[in-house]
Amino acid sequence: MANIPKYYESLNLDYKPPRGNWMDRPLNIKSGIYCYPARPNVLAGIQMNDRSDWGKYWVVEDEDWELPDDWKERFLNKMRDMLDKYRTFKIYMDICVRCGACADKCHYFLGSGDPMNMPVMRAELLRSVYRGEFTKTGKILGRIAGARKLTKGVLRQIWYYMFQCSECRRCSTFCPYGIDTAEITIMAREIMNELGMNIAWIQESCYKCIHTGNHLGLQPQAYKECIDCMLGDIEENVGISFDVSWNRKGADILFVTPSGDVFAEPGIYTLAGYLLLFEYLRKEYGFDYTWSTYASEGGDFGYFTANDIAKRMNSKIYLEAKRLGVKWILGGECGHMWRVLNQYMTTWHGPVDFLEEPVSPITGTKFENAKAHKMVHIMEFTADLIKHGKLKLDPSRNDRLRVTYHDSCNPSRGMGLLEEPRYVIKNVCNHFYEMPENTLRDQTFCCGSGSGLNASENMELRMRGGFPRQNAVRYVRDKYGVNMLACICAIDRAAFPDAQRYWNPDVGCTGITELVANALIMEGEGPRTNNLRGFEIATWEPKP
Amino acid sequence: MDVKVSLGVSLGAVLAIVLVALVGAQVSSLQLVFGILVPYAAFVIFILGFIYRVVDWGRSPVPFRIPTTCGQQKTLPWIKRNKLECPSNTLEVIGRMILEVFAFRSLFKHTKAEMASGNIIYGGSKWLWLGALAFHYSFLIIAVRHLRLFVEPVPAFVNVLDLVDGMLQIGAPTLYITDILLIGAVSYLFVRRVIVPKMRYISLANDYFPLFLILGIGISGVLMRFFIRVDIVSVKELTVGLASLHPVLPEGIGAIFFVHVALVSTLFAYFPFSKLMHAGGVFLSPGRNLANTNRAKMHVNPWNYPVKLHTYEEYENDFREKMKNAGIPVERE
Amino acid sequence: MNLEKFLTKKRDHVVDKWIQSVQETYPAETVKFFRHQRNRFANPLGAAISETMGPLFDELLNENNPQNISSLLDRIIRIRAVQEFEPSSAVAVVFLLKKVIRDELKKDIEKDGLIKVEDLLEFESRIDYCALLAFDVYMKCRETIWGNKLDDFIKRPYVTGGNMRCLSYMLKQEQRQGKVAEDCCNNCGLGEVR
Repeated sequence: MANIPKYYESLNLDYKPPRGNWMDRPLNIKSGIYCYPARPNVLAGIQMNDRSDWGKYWVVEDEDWELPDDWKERFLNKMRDMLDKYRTFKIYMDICVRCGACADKCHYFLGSGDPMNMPVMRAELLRSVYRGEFTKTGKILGRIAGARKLTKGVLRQIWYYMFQCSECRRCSTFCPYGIDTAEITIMAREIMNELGMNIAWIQESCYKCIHTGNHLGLQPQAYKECIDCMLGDIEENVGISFDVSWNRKGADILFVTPSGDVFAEPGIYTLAGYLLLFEYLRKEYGFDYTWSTYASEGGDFGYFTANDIAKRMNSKIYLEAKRLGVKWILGGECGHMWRVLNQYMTTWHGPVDFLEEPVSPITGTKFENAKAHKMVHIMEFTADLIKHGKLKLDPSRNDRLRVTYHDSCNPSRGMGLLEEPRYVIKNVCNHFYEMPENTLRDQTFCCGSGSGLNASENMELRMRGGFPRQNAVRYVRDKYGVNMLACICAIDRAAFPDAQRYWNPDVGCTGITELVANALIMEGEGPRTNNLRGFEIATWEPKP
Repeated sequence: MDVKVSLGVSLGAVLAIVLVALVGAQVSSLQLVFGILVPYAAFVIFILGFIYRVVDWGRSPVPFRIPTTCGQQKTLPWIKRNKLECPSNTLEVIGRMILEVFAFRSLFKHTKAEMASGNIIYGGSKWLWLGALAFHYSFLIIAVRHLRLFVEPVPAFVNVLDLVDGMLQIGAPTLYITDILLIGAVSYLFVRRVIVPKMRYISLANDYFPLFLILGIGISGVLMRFFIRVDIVSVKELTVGLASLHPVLPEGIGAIFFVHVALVSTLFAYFPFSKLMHAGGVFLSPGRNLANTNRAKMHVNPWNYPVKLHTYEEYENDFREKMKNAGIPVERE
Repeated sequence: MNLEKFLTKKRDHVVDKWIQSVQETYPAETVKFFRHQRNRFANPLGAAISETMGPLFDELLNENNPQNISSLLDRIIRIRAVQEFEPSSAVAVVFLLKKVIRDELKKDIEKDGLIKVEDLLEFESRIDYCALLAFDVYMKCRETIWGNKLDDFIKRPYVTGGNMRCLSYMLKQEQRQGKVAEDCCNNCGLGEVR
């Protein structure tokens, strides 16, 4: 036994990736990581500009991306335009000192180990072009100054990695200058949009939203039918039947929520939760609200393409509120929807003088923080109701559940909505457990599928991105027996079931309003043996 | 750019400056250039460049108010809000900025000790925070200390600072704490960039050059004070002359002084065109310097423009029959 | 000295080497981070590697229970199944142990020659079996991925890439060999968006 076979050494079991400068490393485009490109006819359908030449359908893994002839000009012109329009963009291009504080904060980096996913590198992709094309030192010193010219190869790299950023802003909380990589991703995507380089999952949703009012492309009758269907389920499980009003003029409040919750599990149960909660309030306190089929989308996938489109899609909410003559607007649980509503909406369409300052019709609470915007988050609204003891609740109905709460990125880092959801959960559930501190609140991990990346073809990317969050969920699952992950984001509710089937197959996912509605004691209700999902409360084992 | 090339180019550039200054110091006519003209030119470039950059940033609008909120928003009165991490008025923004600018709060954030598998683990980034803090404050104090060379009589606070800084009272002339800290911190920041692969991956020549430059300034300053003494009276004559705009060029100042001045001048002139501008940028960064008041107070976008809308009327025209069939009210029958 | 004793004595060293060689399958920039950031939430991948390899080695050496081995492998392979690796490199973590042990043995065997061939063959067979189990785990992971994709396809009839149609519409269209289906349920309204 003196000679040990050398076979394994010849097998080259050292899977060490190439070293050297990142600019020289070949781009390895891998299926499962990228989303399919948007089709030209969809881009034309969105009528982004007056341009009709949206080129051909291109294939990501091809060498030739069928770019328009003047692609470079378009790119650089748009980039110059953005630099002039956004102080954020200009400053973030200039002041990064590459201190590395952000490097290990990105969930895609943590999940993939790919150094190009460090936020600083993602920004550096664009920054190198900025230096090479827009600054004197970069033009003169070239690569010594970290500058490079825009080439097709560089463009591929930028595209590939900008669609691996979920704009969650976790990195920005650690940056000593507040550099927001999400902002850089937003700019890069808008620039590439000029070349028609966006993904199908986002653009198809935009296209449908522009034409039918919601991302799913549900026409008015279909949208209503979906909700009627939910009403039927509620009758079955709760034992009360009621109707809701549509596009009704003169209602007090317009309710807007992401359409993602209208169609797919488990979001539809959050929607059922809204229906039940509002019916309770109507019966008890005469709460007067309406749904709209025109403003049937709270979310805004346009935000993931270009400012223009985001604004167009968002405008329906105020327009509809004005047409119906409501007093103010109530918004459902959603992540990027609330980032857009909070940080963009009034700037786009304000001043909002056709609505009243929001006052809860039930408790009389003035929502001072929304006095210009006139839109209230359902969690603020519900927390206020509970605080004033306006809801009859039986938290023991949620006793099968051991709940943890995932701070959705946008409400936490783009809005600061942290305590309201926790307050609500603690009042409707008896078993609530927090995940570890450095995965929560402003340091929360993304679900891995934000910013329009919750398509199906990029499942591997989504699983990678979801890993840090699921790792924390797994910890509370093992430690406290947590079996339900609550969140306030429709993309979370679409993304977590996939991620959990992969990482934590015995933890379910729910919106908070679903928990509220399950605990809500309705007048005249039948025996509440089933929850809103139609499972027996006493024996239910949640599954993703 | 290969790391070696980046390092070589940066180090080479700094050495070249040192060499040029050494040569210049030997020729009396060039002393005028290196003692008076170059510092003036560098100072002018610094001031104008700095103003240009800040104005340039300031000129580009802030279309949206998008601060990163890191704490509870102002909401229902009974919910405790986080004034510093999620400011809701100018005062609180100032508070947040002070913490950010003077205490590097964001860098500190991920540095707390945590329990992991039974042991207290400190995040490695605490060192980054410490290093950065040591570096910036030493630099500031050293800069302020240098006021004694430019102002006559020397302001009292400069003397006090001098005293405190030299309180270790080691050697004569006294060793300043900040000198050690500065050189130590710069060395740490440099070593970190070179040995941590992650850092090496993201570092550019633009990152190494200022580090070498500042290290050069520190070393030449220390050399001048302790080892290759210069005639301090003549130096002060020159510097006060510079500051009072009546420049004189006294005889017999050592060559090391010109090296020091040349490096400082380079730093000044390089400043506005480099990442060092983060000193100005941090104040202007919209991620931190805005209050989270979007819903309470409208923010105006100067270039806001109307977009093409899919109006309700068009929508109803598209779907009128279907809406009627489904019992959804319509505007026109 | 027999192999088991030898490996038990060298346990920590072998495990460290194994962990190191698994880490080194990642880019150099990342490896350092895996090693130094010890918080399991800030560095979930590094934690998974360093917390799994030891128990896995012990299991191989002592109990060798396939179920336990699978569940330990699951933590590592599940991550690698969605990363940049080719399938072969994803499961190669197991074979890296072989390499580590051979490197270790080389020194000692040549010295005293006390380790029996059949012991080594036996242990290597355990590693081989472990690799087969890793393949099972890998495939299960990949099947979950594709299950997710399929599930999305069924649950999200409104976006399915090419021709976006309601699912029942698509099925009926297929049945009619390409003719437009007029009796599509059109519940979703999508049947005639375009």
